[in-house]
Amino acid sequence: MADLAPLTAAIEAGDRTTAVRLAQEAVAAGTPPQEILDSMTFAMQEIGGRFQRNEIWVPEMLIAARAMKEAMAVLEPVLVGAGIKPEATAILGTVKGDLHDIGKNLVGMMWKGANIEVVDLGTNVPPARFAEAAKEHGARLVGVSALLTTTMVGMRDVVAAIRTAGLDDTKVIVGGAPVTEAFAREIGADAYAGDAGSAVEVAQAALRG
Amino acid sequence: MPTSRELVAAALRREQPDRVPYCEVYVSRSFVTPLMGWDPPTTAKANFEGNEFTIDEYKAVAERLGLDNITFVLRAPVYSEIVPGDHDTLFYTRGLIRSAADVETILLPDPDDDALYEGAASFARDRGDYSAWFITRHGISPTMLSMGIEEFSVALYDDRRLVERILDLYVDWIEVVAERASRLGFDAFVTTDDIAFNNGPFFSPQIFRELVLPRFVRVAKRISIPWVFHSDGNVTPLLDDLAAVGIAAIHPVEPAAMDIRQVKRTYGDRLCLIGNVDMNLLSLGTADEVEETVRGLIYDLAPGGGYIVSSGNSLAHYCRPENVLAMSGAVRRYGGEQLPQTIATAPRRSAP
Repeated sequence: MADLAPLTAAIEAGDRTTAVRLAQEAVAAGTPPQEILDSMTFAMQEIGGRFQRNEIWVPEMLIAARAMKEAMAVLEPVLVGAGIKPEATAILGTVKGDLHDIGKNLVGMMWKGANIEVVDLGTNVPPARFAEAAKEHGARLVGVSALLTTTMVGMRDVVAAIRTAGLDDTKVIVGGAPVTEAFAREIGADAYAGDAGSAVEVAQAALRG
Repeated sequence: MPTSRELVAAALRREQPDRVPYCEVYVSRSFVTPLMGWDPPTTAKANFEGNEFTIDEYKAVAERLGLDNITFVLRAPVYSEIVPGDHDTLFYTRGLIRSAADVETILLPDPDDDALYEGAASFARDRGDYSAWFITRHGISPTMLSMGIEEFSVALYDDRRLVERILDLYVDWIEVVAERASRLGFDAFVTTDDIAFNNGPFFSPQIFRELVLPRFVRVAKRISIPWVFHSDGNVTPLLDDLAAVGIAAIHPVEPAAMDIRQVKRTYGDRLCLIGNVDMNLLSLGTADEVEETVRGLIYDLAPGGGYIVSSGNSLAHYCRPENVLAMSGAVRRYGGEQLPQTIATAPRRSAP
């Protein structure tokens, strides 16, 4: 049985070569895939916390996410074989009229690192498209990003589109520079994520709630 | 009464002018067109590297809005895909410089060519009583945008030399431009490099010190007018370094990202603060709310000097005209002779 602490450490350090090698060794040693997965998602959870506490910044988060992604590619066939599925599916996009994507992309990486399957609709996404995609993929989460005050108000239409589509079990999480907790409440969103680091906790809480 | 130019100069020196100035780094043509009664533009005028207004238009806009400054834009091109949005807005999307070979494709206008400064020279000459601000970029944001923010971030670890090569192309350019702008008679040199999110800088203060700060020092040596540093987001972890380089003022001190009163207490003896009037308030709030907010900012930050009222980003197309007019009205109402002269904030640091 492999010691998984070095795999966690390699992902946290963004050392993709070591992370891939250790993932391969763990699989070869017959380590239960769920344990390997947990060690990897734990690393990204740590990364999220450090990002929130300003102990690391975007570059360190990105290289950790890259190491996670490459190690996951090793693990994925084993997970499929063991019948282990992502915790949930999330639809992600930037609201209509807004083409900024860095915040959305960081959230997507962190959600993937938490074993949430992410369907990224990109930028400038009309409200109806969020609802269609949520229905099509059976998504329990919809993440909506905006960088501008003027486009932020379009989040209200996304929430309305999800509700109108009858997706009662789908939670809408909003975030982005101008967005506040109060605004999220005002438009009827289920949750607000202030940054990519907190987005994982917010998503997990929404899934539990 | 001192001129707008004199008011702004005093505030940038962290002295208390006779009235608190009101300045903006960017005013959108889409925002002012209905306010000025202008015809809508027949062609897309927005341009990241160009000017929205002629000098006469800008002076008319400044008079209408009660602005104390006018701005001239001269920026090096960014090598990114640029996608138009609504209301003449533009978005940088995919960076085009990914490799050492791509770096060879970067061509910047000759900074030693007098023709590059013809528009700037006449703008500064015809400024009238306004404070004329020269708007450009230092080089770190063109580097990030030309590579793509994610690619830039990863390259900091995978290929730092590539980042430095691109950054040096821009910094070599801006060193010359900074010196020329100073000599043309502008009143402030403004760099607009967005390097932060609401929760902090894009990259660590350590990387800032290794990569960016030495190149700020190079530019600072060439500038003989006050340097205004603009970045969205929370740049608090960088403020000691920025002040040490000789940055005169920071803008826009976004309220969602930074506590301007705390920044004033800590850095008020080293930095002039410009901004903090919330964009959400300017676009979604009421004129009364704006007036109350500006009054509070003036009373808390302006006594003793070193504060200039400004939006928390820019006058974007979605700001409500009545709110912007309420902002400049509040400057006249509360920022003049009734303002206390005592220094109520900013502890003075002892000399080293």
